[in-house]
Amino acid sequence: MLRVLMVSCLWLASNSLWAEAMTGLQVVEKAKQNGAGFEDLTQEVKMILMDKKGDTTERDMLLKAMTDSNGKSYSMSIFTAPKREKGIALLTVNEADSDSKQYLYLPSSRRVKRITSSNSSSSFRGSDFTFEDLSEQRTEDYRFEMVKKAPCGELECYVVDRFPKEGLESSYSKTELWIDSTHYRPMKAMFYDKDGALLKTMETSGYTLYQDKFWNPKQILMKNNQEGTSTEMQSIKTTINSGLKASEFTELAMRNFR
Amino acid sequence: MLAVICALIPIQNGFAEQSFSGWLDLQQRYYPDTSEQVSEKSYPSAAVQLEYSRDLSDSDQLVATVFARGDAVDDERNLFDVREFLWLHQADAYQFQLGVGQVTWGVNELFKITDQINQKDRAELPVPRKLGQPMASVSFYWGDDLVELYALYDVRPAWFPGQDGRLRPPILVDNDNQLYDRGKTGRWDFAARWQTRFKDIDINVSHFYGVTRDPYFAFNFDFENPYLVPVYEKVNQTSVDMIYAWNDVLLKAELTYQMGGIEQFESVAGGFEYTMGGLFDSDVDLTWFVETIWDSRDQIDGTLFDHDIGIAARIAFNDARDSNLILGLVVDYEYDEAFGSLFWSNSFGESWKLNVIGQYFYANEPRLDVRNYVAPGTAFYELLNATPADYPLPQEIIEDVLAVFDGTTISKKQYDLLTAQLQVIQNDPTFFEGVDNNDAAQTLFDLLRTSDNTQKMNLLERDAFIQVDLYYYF
Repeated sequence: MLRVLMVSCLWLASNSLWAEAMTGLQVVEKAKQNGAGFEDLTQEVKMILMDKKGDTTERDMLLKAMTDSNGKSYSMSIFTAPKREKGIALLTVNEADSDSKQYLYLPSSRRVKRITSSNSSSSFRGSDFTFEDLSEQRTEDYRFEMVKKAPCGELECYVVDRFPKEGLESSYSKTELWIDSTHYRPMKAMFYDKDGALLKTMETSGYTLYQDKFWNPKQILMKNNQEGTSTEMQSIKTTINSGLKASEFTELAMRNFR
Repeated sequence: MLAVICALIPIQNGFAEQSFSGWLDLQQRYYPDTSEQVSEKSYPSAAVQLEYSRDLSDSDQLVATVFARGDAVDDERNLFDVREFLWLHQADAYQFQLGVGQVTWGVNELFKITDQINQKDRAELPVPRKLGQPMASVSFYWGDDLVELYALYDVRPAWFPGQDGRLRPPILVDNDNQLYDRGKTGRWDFAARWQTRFKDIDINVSHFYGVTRDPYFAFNFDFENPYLVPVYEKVNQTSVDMIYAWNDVLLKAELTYQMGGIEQFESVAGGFEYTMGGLFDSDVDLTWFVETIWDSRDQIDGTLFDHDIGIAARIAFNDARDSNLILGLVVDYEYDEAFGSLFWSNSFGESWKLNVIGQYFYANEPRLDVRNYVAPGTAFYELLNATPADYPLPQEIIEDVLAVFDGTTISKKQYDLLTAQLQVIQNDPTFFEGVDNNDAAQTLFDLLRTSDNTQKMNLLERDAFIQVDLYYYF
């Protein structure tokens, strides 16, 4: 769940991006500047889930993420709609020297519950995004191959294939990443299942520049090519570096959201 | 602090200065069987919960939640409760609450033995809801540790089913009359909780000094209007609960030590939780919950679950409808008893949710037969059929009655009460005047059954039910 949108649009905000993919190095360095470097992020997000028949349901949430001066990173997502889920909150704390910890707050029982973050292939809130799609992906777990340069819309894109390394639990055998050559933003990603068939396609649109350095998409559309379902994630409002504090990422803070 | 965020960031309809929401619940509970005392099988009811919150300033918030239920059959289940009515003050380093609040402690899913602040709303069981608790509390971070201190005002009496209600003991519990042994601090109770971490284990140490939330029962010895009277005593309870993530498995344990009540006791409950994500390459998650409980009490005033093993499986379908199925089984390892439950939940549209809940009670302990206790020659018969000329009753009759209770798990306190009452009866030829002999014999038999742990599930066996709840959220 960490930095849901940030990472879901594959900014790959971690440290040593695609280190061994020499041909992609320049792409990587540029993309890194886009995705990393801010201290905190607050984002209101609307998810629109569309089923095979075209019926839609909506899920709203408030996302907050920050990294403190010690490198400890926090993220919290608070569900705001539908009303039956209002106040449910998920807190993730990542520390350099230990595994990430996840806590779930259930307002109906006023209870904070520790959870494991293992079920990476599960759907997030019934959407076409899985927890794997939304979690921070460490570049050292993947192998990258520069494929080609191809036109994407009005721009040119680098096309890079990403393969999970041996031992990494992933639902995908390959992900094809499309990153534009002008601003180095992820424009498209195609996810292939374990049989090598195209499973999902993700497209980003409506990029906005924040604080002259951070590009953030307004929409991300994830289509499941096999099921015929799709999920659109809309960023309703984004605030960067508003000065969030670690005290907003605690059990107390989770309990008190109304 | 969050109030500041709320002020900065518009949520849904703009400025989140105040919000109003809630839900309606239409409920139908059906018991396929009649019970010994009640022939009613169908219990329609409705409930409403209203939630209101308002930012008073950047750091102050007012929150209120009220709840009401009306039951078409059991009058005792027509209830209103203030779940929350709190002034919340939040600063960076601490938080202060004053009013009526809700607090939950503990890590277990099945055997929650450390949770102590709020009285359970037993009228809502098996849905885990709680009655509002009047309190003042302060919470602050001490390094990474969270310290919480509570001053609690009074205990909310536990609720029990009425004359027409199901899942009730054969002798009704008096909802209008409770006895309290409040101790030195009277209506004020106190609690503290310290949340810390040792390596990667989350540890909570708590202490509660106050009136117990789980009363024991004293028979009123009124054979015309027999009732069990709940008795609440001041107790000291120290507890520790902890949770550790061992790879994908959550290991949990809760330990309590209580003294000052009807007897001192220790209780240990714990187990694990394991999620198998993406079952068979689908979106379905299967979570196993396995917990066991051991309680040093073997008297009847222990909880319903005191020597049990519980296994539950939750199947989360992770679909747009948020479908969930939970199947649970709790087996008593001391007596041949078990308890099964089912919970199905499904959301639809923006505002609706449908829940189906089922419970099943299995009892295979020998069932006490009333005929063996009321026939001529039995102790109860001799006691009830004495003529005025027999008084004062021979000690032998009194001893015989006590002997019937000797083999049960009746608590020492209740046994002493019984002994004292029998002494009164021994010298009072008018005690049973105007009381039907058969009724009095049945009441004595019922008292015996409620004093015997082996009869717990036998008493509930015919109360298996299925319940459907339709919720509308607004």
